[in-house]
Amino acid sequence: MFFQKKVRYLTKVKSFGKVYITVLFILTFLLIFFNKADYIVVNKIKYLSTDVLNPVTRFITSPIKVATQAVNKINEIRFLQQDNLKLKEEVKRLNKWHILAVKNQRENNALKKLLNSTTNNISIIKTTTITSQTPDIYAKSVFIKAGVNHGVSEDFVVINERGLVGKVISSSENNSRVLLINDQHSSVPVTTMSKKINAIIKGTANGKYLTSTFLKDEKKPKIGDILLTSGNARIFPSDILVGKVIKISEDGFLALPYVDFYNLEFVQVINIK
Amino acid sequence: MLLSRYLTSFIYYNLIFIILFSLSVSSIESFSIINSISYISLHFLIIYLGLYYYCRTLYIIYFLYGLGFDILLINQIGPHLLIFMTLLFLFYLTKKYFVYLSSQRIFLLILFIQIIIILLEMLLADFFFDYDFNLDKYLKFVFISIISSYPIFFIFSKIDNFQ
Repeated sequence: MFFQKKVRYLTKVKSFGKVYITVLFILTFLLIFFNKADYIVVNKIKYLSTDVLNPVTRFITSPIKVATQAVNKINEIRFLQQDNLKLKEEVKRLNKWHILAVKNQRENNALKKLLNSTTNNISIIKTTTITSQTPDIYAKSVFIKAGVNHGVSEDFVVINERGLVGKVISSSENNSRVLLINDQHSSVPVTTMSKKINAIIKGTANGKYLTSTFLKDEKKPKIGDILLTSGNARIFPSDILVGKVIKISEDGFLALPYVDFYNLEFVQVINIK
Repeated sequence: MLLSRYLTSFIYYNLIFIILFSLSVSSIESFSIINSISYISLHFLIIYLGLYYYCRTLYIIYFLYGLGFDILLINQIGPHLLIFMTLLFLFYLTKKYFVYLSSQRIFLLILFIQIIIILLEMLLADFFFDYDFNLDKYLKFVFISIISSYPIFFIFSKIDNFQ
């Protein structure tokens, strides 16, 4: 009797194990299928995982980050005198530019009044910090500390003091994921200062450069041309700095982004009015 | 120690899992090599646990880490999850053949599996989600795998003794 019960129990345990493994495999394939089909349930899983995992990983990596910051600080102290000299020279140079900028600003305001211009087509949603950044293995993205509760939602544009950073691709209540413009899946309509050349750019596989995927009328820019958002497709507002053309090839061109994606700290989420 | 009898080598491996996972998915800007080494070490750990600590609990562990990797690194679900789950199932089918192998051959086998699964992950990411296969990145991972394999297995063998 006892042995019969034991055998029955063991059979149950064995069959439970098989069922559990089968269920996990079915779940794996369903998740992959639903992800490709873009089901809402997969997006919910993504938001939830991001919200749960991000604070945990941040907490665990914090000692390493503190240690690396300390190493950086020591290096900074080592080169303090040289940096100080460089900065003094830069301050002199910037002062000259500042005087010129103030003069241009006044002139600009006066001209705007004359033209009755309303060029300010963006609204600032939130200024926020980067909570974490994905390593350079697959996707190039950052997580920001602003979500639906702060008025941030998908397709909003993210900029910093240097130019275009990326686009919000998913938003949970308090966090959002931003796809950087140096990712292979980004797509930014750009133009040159002269507005004569229009193109669409994306990130290269190594994430260091931006490459053209489409050139309107096959017109190519020149090396050194500055790229700005064109405002086409109305996802990115116009005239935000993107990068500088550094190489022209038969297929298109290569540009260097203005934003330093490895030292992002504060960003601004904006939207087209 | 009070907790020492509860801290088996499997528990230690799981703690290492959490740390390596965290270091793999959050970028350390000035020392990005830490991210790569953690990513490689975690893959070694996945193969090692599948070979030496095979149990049903591993399926759920691999499922969660595969899902976590896919969501945080690619923002899509597929390559890591599929590879981790399939790998564990393949170990279940073939582990009886590994018993007869010498430690040196097992070492080379793990290294070979590591190189193959990283290649497959990158190819699947390319196939499913258009993340171009980057040969430089792959070679970097292979190089780190070869360099770090011996110290990693040395640490693993020390942890095995905790049992």
